[in-house]
Amino acid sequence: MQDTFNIYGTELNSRLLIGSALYPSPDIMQQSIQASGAQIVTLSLSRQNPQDNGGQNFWSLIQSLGLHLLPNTAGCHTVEDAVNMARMSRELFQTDWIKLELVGDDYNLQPDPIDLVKATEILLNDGFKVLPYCTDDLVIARHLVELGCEVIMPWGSPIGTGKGLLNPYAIQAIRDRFPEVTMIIDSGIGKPSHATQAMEMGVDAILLNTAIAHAHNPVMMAQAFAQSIEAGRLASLSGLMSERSTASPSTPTLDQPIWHQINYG
Amino acid sequence: MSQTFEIYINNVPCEVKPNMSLSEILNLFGAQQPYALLFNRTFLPSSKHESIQLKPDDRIEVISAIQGG
Repeated sequence: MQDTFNIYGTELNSRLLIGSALYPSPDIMQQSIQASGAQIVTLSLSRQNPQDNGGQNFWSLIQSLGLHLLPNTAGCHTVEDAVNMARMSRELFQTDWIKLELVGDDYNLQPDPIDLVKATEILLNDGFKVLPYCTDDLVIARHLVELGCEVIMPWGSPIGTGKGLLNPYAIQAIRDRFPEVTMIIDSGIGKPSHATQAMEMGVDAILLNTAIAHAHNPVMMAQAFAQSIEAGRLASLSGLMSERSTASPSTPTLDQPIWHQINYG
Repeated sequence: MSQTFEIYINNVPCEVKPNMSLSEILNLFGAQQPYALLFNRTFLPSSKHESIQLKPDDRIEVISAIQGG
């Protein structure tokens, strides 16, 4: 079965997007990304250090993977900084995709919803295809969609916490309210079961970094996540049973020789 | 002999001569392609690198790819 999703018109088979940070070594990073089956890898920008070969080793390794690049604006606290970083990324990486991150508070790295909307509008008007990292707030999601975002990326929980979906209701509400928008859970996924849960809810894809990179065996964990995302997707397409409050036997009990009924009251 | 002045590249003070081009200065710094530039905190497209007129205390950031999530 051909089951693709799209990011601003680009059809993709893998519903796992992967980050390039925090791996124990460049070799493990490369193997993990390949094991994940991801078609999109995220990366970022920093001051170049000539003593570190100008970052050439990392850049060559990323290029050798042959994947779509999704640069982020990690660390930006102002609209101005985020817009500048996006424009540098576009020139450097030759892509108009930008994973727009605008930190609102350093305590939990929560996105600033107000500045996020402002920066999104500026970048969309400048020709960018914006993938905004947002909270799970339905109204902020609506503002982003109304501006023209075809993709939204709400958090499951704060970056790097691994707590999974802290507010499944809010995630489901965004999914149900904007079924036509590509929805990617961008942070907080810690276990494959978290990813499956999100995919069962109809989310289109999962962006992962820490949960894979900080595993004892990142390469194997990348495979685990790929399978869990696929399982959740199949479950979502299959239609989940309705939850019930009372038990209902799966084995027919009528006319069993041990059949009995206890009546209380 | 022309007077030198000081600018900052990636927060490091650098003495430059008024007639030096930006690419000469970046070569002296050791910048390696590919990079993008921030000039006084604003993105400077590559098409404008050679036309920029440097003055004392200008700040240039040489930016390149790193790992990111």
